[in-house]
Amino acid sequence: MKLLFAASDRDLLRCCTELLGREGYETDTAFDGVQALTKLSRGGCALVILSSDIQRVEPERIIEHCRADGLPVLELLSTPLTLKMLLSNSPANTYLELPFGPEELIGAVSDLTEKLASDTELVFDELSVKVSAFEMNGVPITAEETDVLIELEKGNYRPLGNNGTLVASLNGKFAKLGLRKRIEYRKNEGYRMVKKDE
Amino acid sequence: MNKAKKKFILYAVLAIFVLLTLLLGVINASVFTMAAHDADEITEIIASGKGKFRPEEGMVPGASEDDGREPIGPMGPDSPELFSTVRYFTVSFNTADESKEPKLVAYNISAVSEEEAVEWAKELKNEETGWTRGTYRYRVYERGKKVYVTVIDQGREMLTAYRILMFSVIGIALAVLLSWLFLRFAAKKVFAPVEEADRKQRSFIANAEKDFKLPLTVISANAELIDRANGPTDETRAINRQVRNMDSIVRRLGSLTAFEQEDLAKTEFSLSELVQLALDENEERFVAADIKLDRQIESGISLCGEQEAFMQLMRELIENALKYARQNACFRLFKEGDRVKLVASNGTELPNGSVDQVFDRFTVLANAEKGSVGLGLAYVKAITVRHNGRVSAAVEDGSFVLKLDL
Repeated sequence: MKLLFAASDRDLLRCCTELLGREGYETDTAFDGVQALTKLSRGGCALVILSSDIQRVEPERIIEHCRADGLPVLELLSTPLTLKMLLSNSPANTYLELPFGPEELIGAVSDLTEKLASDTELVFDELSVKVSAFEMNGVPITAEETDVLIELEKGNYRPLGNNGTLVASLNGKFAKLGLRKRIEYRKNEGYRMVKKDE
Repeated sequence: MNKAKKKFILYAVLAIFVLLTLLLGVINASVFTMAAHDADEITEIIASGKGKFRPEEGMVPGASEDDGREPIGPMGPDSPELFSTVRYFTVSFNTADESKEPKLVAYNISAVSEEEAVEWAKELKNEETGWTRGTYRYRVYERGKKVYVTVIDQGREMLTAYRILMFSVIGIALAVLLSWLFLRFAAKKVFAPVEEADRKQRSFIANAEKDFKLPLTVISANAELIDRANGPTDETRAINRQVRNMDSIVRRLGSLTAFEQEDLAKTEFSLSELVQLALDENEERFVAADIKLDRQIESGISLCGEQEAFMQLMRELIENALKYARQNACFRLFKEGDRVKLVASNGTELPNGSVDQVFDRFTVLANAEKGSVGLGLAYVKAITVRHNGRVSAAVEDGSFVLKLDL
């Protein structure tokens, strides 16, 4: 599987490329946004790892380009993930916040490739989630949001913890789609999907 | 910063108010005392003439060197107009024969009728000297077998004193108002450099946090590559340990910065359960540290806020208790009216005068553990304030207590 790693820091590129190479990923590199777009237009990449600090081209533009070509993007963030990022028109498929350990990077890439190969389709009444497309009724969703939905579909209510931003983002997307659904926290139950008037 | 500005304005206005009140209070007290003194001088002259002025018997206005009286101004004994301008009356009582009716010895006043004058005198004859009916000064004295009550009207003289008082009050109010307006304007100028420094500090922290992340990732990845090539060594273990420490600091800094700048992802959640869960997760650590964990968590308390942030807040409070508690740590969650209160106490003492500093970023107190960077309680404060709550620290019975009002 060929990856494109786009980051303006050469040290980061070198060590991450080597780590990914040892895990069996063939990695091409791009030192700036222009180079990344050029390499993307040539094709041949199955996944893009993009640093949010990439120079010369806004990372959003590169993500839009990838989305249009159906290429999944793992964005490396130098700032914490926010609700605004998740609700943007072109979110990445997954995010990894710096500083990350090597195993986190490999884990994120592996999770993304697994999802790409997945034929799972989740259906909650009017809601349809195609895991491999990272879409929910045509609206882009991230791998993390997909995980929340998978667990909700299984009935494994998410425990209390670090899901507030993801839940808020999913609820925002439900509202955008005009769905009468919400993910709510229920006392003694955790999160669950409910109808708005329930 | 706004809080500091408000404090500055409040204290400055308060200082102006107190200073003016003291100054004008002393001036007004002197004016009233002098008015009473002047009146007493006049009643004394009248008393020396057995209840009235007796110019025909050689009584002259003004203080003399012989009688020891001090001059009291143009309206007093120094004034040749004294005899004709003093409004007064004197009533005498015969002490030898009380059956005799009181006698109006002198009557040179328009505002009081003769009958009223006698009635007033009857009321006052057992007194000595003082004020009656607001602006009338009286003196009671004995001459032979008679008791005299002399009352003089000081209304016009007191009017001046009251006017000074009135203008003093208005002056103070105006001064306070004007100084408040001026200080509001001045505070902007005075605090501009401080605000700029604060902005720069925050910007520096935000950038530093961002700039640290990339090198940490590269160091960590390279250490991993060395490990994979040669196997783990003490050196790479040390590198990884320090990277983890730095990572923790950077993440906390990042959370703090993001928390202050980004919109909150608010949801309704059970705070009671969150607090219980956080304590449950760490119960074994308290046991291992030989700290008795006391929890009084009222059930059914919900909150609308960013749940993740509150989980982090609880973690910070727990870490704080684990670091500093000596024998026991107590967490209480309860409702007081509409407000939710979360109180954490850990039985530890604080260095003198450090209570106000515990929420400052990078403030490491003298009794802090090695490795502390002073971000935990700054984070607690940021979360509480962003949820429109208040946080305070105090030392109660020698123990550090943290109170959150949400």
